Amino acid sequence: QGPVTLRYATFLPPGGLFTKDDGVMGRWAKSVEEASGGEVKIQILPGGTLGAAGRNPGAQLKLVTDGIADIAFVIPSTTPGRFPDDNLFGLPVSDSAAEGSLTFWKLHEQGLMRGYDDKSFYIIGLLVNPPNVLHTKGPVKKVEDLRGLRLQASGAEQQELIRALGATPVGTVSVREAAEAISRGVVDGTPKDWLALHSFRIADATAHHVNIPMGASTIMFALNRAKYDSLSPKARAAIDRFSGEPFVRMAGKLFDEYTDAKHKETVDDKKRQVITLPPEERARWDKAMGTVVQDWRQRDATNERLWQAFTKTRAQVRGELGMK
Amino acid sequence: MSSTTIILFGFVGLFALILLQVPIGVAMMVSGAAGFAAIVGVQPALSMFGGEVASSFASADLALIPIFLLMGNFASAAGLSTDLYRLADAFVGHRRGGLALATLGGCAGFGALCGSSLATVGTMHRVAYPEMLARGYPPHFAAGTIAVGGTLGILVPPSIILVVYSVLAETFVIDLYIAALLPALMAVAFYGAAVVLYGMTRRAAMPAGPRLSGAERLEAVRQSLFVIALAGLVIGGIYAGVFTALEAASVGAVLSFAAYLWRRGWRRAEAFKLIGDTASVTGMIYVMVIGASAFNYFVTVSGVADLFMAAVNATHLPPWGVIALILVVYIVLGAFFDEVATMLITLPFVLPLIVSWGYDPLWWGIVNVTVIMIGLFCPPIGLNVMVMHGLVRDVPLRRMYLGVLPFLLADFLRLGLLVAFPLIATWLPAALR
Amino acid sequence: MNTIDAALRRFAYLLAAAGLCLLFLNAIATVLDVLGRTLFATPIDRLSDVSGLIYILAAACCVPAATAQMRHITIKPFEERLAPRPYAALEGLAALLKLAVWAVLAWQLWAHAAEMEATHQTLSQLRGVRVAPFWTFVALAMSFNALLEALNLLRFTRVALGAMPPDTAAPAESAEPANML
Ligand code: NA
Ligand code: NA
Repeated sequence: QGPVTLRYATFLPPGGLFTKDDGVMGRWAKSVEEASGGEVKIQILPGGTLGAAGRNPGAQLKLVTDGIADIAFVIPSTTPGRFPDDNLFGLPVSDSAAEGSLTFWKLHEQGLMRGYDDKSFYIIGLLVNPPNVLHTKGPVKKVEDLRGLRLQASGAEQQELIRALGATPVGTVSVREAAEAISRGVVDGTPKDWLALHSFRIADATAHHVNIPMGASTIMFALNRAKYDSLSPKARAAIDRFSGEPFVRMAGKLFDEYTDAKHKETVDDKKRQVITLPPEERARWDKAMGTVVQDWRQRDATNERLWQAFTKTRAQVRGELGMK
Repeated sequence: MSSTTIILFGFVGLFALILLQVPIGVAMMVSGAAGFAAIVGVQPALSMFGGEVASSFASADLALIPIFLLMGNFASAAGLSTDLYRLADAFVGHRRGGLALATLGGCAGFGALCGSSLATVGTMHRVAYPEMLARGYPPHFAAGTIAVGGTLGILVPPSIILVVYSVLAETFVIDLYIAALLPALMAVAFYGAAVVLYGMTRRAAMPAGPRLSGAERLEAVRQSLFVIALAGLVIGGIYAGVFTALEAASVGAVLSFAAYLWRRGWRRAEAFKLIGDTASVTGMIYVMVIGASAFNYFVTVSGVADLFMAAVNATHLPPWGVIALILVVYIVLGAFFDEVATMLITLPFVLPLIVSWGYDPLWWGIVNVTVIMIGLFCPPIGLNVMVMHGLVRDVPLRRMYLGVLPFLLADFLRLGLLVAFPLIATWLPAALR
Repeated sequence: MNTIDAALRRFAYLLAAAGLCLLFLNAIATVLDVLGRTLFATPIDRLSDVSGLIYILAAACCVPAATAQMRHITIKPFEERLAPRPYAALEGLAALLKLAVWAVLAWQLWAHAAEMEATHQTLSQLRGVRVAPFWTFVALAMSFNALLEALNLLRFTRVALGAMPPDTAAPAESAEPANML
């Protein structure tokens, strides 16, 4: 009897951080395949080859729980309501993928992130993207420059942040359409992380970049639970060994390395202007966005409880990672 | 069962169902799900349906289709095609074959408001056919010109078939529209050239109309200001960057409806029929797309694409040779099968091959639409010619195919150029990016 | 029997009209959103949430219309080669298969709606709005679609058995060309 094949099907294009052989899932797959002594084989199917649902980010978890795919790249915010606490990370609260992801994982381990205790999937890992920063067509140097600008925004938190900064959020343009919409002048810019700036070709349409963290989105790698349960103890042990916290640490670090490389590439590009706000100007941006954080905390008691646990966990993670 | 056996069963089953008169979309659903079940399992194959339908219904790209259909149907009922036809006639009507040229121009213009070729034939037939007969054009040539001009409806943006392609091939619909622009201009020029050349050999059959004065031309422009503004707003809005594709479609639909109310007033029965038509065509397209997606699952997990690619590479044919072969197969199959079905069934394994040779999926989309256009009027079964025959019963089908012959040559030449020079389709999207 | 058949087909029309009216209203809202956004920097907040729902509802309303009017893209090699009654039997066979497929689709959409309910899914900006009821509506529409196919099957069966004249097998609309082209 040959090895059991686990199909990792995703809408992400081939060759990216989450699909290529030396990327996050490629490394995880290699480790698991070796540790299982060849009992499992992981097949990576990028590019949304599984029909309309395969291309629909909101359907990815269902593909896994229904057994259509074995492993999926899930963006929890695309199934709103199912993971109601993830919107915390949509606020400007994390400085890197390593920090955000480890904090996210530890909060999950404390049982504070609702929806992740679902027994129909096995969690390979949880991630928080590196923070979104602002990319615009024209120059933006101070908060007043944002007035009258239309910024593509996905998710309620991002829209509120944009509104708090005095710009107009445009939610009817999707991330996929953002580059087109900016180059055609439908919108003037969008907050995205440095990797997404290039992978969604937004770099082709923007030349000005403000290095200000404006929230992030979360990611989950999920494995069909029944499939996991059907594997041999040795294969399960191999998966356990490289999933959870080890995965989160490996993926967070790699995510930041890729992001830093793209950031540097963008800074070195003579045609682009990447600015870091001077401290007093930065304080004005943070103050404006701080009102959104306050609103979020006051919205209900669950949010405030999560916030308290979050700040404690984040401080601990930051200490461990040697951050400020 | 080995995967080759499953693949064989899947494809044989698909064709058997289609020949047993099962709708193509349903046949693809059934054979795709059965093949997927054989490889992955019955339960996943069942729940695949729920996920596919849910994702297709929720797709903002597919939602473009009913909006474009509403826009085209209201534009047609409002008689906007008449304005375009008169306008084109005012400028080219005095030439030999002028009215045929005006018909082609009217078709191209109406194509900017309507995403369907059949609807373009239907609406242009009402305006152009009686006039061409009155001016002494041979009926089969007049009918042929309209049948051919109608195909511009699916090449000039917006186009339903380009939306379907963009969804299944994962390309931006706006990029596809931009890619279609030069080939569309080329199509109009080539059809026009065919008319002029044909007119040189049959001088008596292609009378010239009277030359209009500047004032009369100005009047024709004034008459069609609304339709020019509408087409300009929709197409210009997309190209120059005020709206997304969906916003452009919405603007077009709202203004077409306004034009319909203004010109014809509210006629309940007629509006109800327009809506019923829009709905059934929309439902039909969703079923087709869901079927193509379900079949895609089977193609993906069975590894057909890899097998196909290996088989093609084993022949050591140059890429252009393989592409020429594929196109010949498409056109031949189109004679007794259906070009769109052929394209949808083969897309999941042909497109990866094309892309692996470094060709742009946008270009392949335009090539596919060109093949479909040819299939719409190429004997022995050309849908547009059949529809035109249904509308003008007095011209025998055989004569009608004779009438499209000059255009057929023009289209084969255009297809050859498009294959030889992919830049015709890919240059503009790259330049505007 | 014929009155029920006519009434249900009529209802498919009404459903489609309702769905497309919704879509048309959404198109108007989209135009207003574009105007508001470009002229006054005030887009219609949360329109994308509502639009997303309307696409789903409109699509679900249109599918039964295609079944009621028997308009699906079909290649008909036997249309003029078989006598009317055997031909109706063949069409009935295809309708039976379609009925099975629509039934599976409806069943899986009920399951989809139940999952939405169980996992508390909402709209992404209007977080108070649960999506499960809308998916239940979609499942209902697809069940209605299956019912319409059962009516089609009944017609073909009656023609095949000689209980109904062949020319009444298909509704009048299906004679007109309907194609995605
Ligand atoms: Na068109
Ligand atoms: Na044909």
